[in-house]
Amino acid sequence: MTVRRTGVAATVGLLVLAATACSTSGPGAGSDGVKVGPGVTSKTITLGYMTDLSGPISSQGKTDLAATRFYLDKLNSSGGVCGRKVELKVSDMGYDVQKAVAQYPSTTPKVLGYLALLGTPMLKALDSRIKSDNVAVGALDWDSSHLGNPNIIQFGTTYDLEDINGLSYLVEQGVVKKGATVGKLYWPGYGENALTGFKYAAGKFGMKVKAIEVDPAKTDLSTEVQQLHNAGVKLISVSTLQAQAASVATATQSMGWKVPILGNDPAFVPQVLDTPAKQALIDRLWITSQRKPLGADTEVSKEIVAAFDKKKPKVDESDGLVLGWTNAQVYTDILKKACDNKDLTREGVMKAVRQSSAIESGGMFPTLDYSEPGKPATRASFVSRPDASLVGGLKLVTKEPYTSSLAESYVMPTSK
Amino acid sequence: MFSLALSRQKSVLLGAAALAVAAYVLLPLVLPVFWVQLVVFAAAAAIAAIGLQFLIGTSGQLSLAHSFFMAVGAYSYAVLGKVPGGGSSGWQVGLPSLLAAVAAVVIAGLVGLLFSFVSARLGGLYLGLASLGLVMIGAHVLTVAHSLTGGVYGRDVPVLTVGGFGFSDTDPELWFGTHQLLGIGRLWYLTLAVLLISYWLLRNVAHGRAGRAMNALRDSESAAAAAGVRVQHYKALAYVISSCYAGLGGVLTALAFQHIVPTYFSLTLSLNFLAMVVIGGMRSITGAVVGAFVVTGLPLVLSNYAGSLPFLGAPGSGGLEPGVFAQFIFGAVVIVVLILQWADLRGLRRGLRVLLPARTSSTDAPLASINR
Repeated sequence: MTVRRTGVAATVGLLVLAATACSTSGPGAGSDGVKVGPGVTSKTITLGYMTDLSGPISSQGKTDLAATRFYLDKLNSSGGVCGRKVELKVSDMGYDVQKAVAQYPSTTPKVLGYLALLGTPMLKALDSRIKSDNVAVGALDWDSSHLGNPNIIQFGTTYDLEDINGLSYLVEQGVVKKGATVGKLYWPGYGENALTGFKYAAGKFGMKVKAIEVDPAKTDLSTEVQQLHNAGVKLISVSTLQAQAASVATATQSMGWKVPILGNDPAFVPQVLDTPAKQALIDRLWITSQRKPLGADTEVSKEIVAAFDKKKPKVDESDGLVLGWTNAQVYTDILKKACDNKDLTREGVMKAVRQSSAIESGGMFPTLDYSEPGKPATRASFVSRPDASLVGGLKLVTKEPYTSSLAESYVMPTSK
Repeated sequence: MFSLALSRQKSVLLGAAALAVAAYVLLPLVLPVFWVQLVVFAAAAAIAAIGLQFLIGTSGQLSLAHSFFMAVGAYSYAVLGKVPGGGSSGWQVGLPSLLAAVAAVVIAGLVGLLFSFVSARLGGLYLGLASLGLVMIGAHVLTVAHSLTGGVYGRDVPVLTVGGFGFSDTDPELWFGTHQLLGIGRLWYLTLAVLLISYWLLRNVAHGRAGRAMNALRDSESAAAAAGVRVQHYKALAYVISSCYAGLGGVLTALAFQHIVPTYFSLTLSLNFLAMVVIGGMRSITGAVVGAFVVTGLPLVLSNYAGSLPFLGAPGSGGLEPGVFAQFIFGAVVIVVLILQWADLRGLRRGLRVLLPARTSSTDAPLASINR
């Protein structure tokens, strides 16, 4: 009898739990005639934001998020989107795939889309879920393989195109000559995609590529630099993380080897200009990037710096601020379009993405065109050089968005 | 007539069993997805963890390569199975998924057998360091062998289908009233059942002839050999069993992830498994299961709920990040658990007695005094 009673009690208990766990929410039209989906009420639009705030690239994650908050504060104080305030549901996955996979299903039903989701491994692990949930995801990642997923929005051009433009620019400027041997140090995380573009451009210029994979945690790259020196390279391209561009500069300097260095923007933070590598970096570093640096002479960057000075968040005053701000601006511009269509459902947002054929960001990005899935939003990028006198430590050298002829004709790996 | 105490004890046990069965059946339908998923991750990890506990605790061989064997299981399953429409980047064999899963476990076991030739020549820390090499090789192969692994992007994991029943959200869609049984809920039933069976099997091995032989060679190889234990045979057997368990845990983890990437199967994962076994008290299978739930579950829970703690700011607003705070708490909990040995069953009982002193004072008091 006790047994049965315990069993019955257990079952009843669980059923009560079942009843309370029941949720009642669903899509419907709001009082203003706008169709709304998950995460949207008559007062707010909630967007997911999955990033790294406690793991290996948390300093970048925090900088991006701080600037996104600046932009959203500004937007919300001037009425928000569709009369609704835009709010973030931030999840910190610490650059851990398991945490990302664990957090995604509990966050997604509460949000309309993801304003940002960071990291190639995480985006790849969630790729099919993103498609089946039909959420519009702003990617803080420029790997061109994401073009295979129509739900992923990338801010600016992809790594392979960025490298094609970077190398083309240096050839154009006479920094490196056609037919030379060129070196590439890369971290497989994002560097593999950059390497694809780099090899393509080098092949067209009749160059030979010596590529070496490096561990992102490695701080002394003198062995790799020596290998490149022995191979007789005339340029070192670095697609690695932050301090490693400085490490390459230091290693080449101590050898007395004045080789030009081309880096992707994750390879640079302003702090490296406080290291002994400073002069070598100023003399020999070029940075290729999808966006203008914080030190660029534009209204937007002045606004970002002003917001930073006012709020003084405990984050780096670096290029990531530009990304965080413009990322929020581009994504919410798409939401405004969805609002014009009176459709703030996920389908409505995806429709608005395809209608967005010319999003401007005050010149910080080239004009972005999301109308065709599978195509990069732009093929243009920018080149900058270190300048310690400017905020963010980089000075723009290509005033206009730069598109090389090789980038124009490059066939994206996903459309082969 | 039975004594009152006995029948009460028996009925409490039966009641607990009924409760467990009811929880097993009903919880995936009512719990939030986060919790269902957490249990599936932890149970899959527990299967691999008891394999490592067997290797270290029973046969006395240290391994840091557990994440490697998990990767072998997970990737073998992904390569051998079939993703409809070839959604994954890479070559696939196209076996029925159940067969692919079994084959993946066998492959992990075979790789373990190969490595047992190394383990035959090394012992203690040296063996641990040698196994470290496997993790390094594994990490390199996983990123380089594009056609098999999909490189850094990883590859999609085929849905497990048994007799037309798919362990996915659809295929077929299942509704119980207003509650849908999602893929992760189906994996709950599968993973916990597999954990129970593999637990039972391993317990039998550990308590049987083979287990006794391994215990003997753990304490002293020469003494065991003198007593007629075939040392190399049993060392190899332990390695094969352990890597099969890692492979099985890998397959189940892959099923829960739906897409696997190389960064997951890192040295950190191996160290996590070591932590599970150590927290569980090295010699206890049950302890390893508890350890797996602590090490897998706690960081997920902490990072998910740390944001709602009142004294922490919103994530990214400066100050102490909830995610960082969660790491501190996790570290502290591990130290406390280790000192008090709570994950070991005896320690757990002792811990409960400390936490719940009132329980013995009421109805159980006469019984307790008799026992004393």
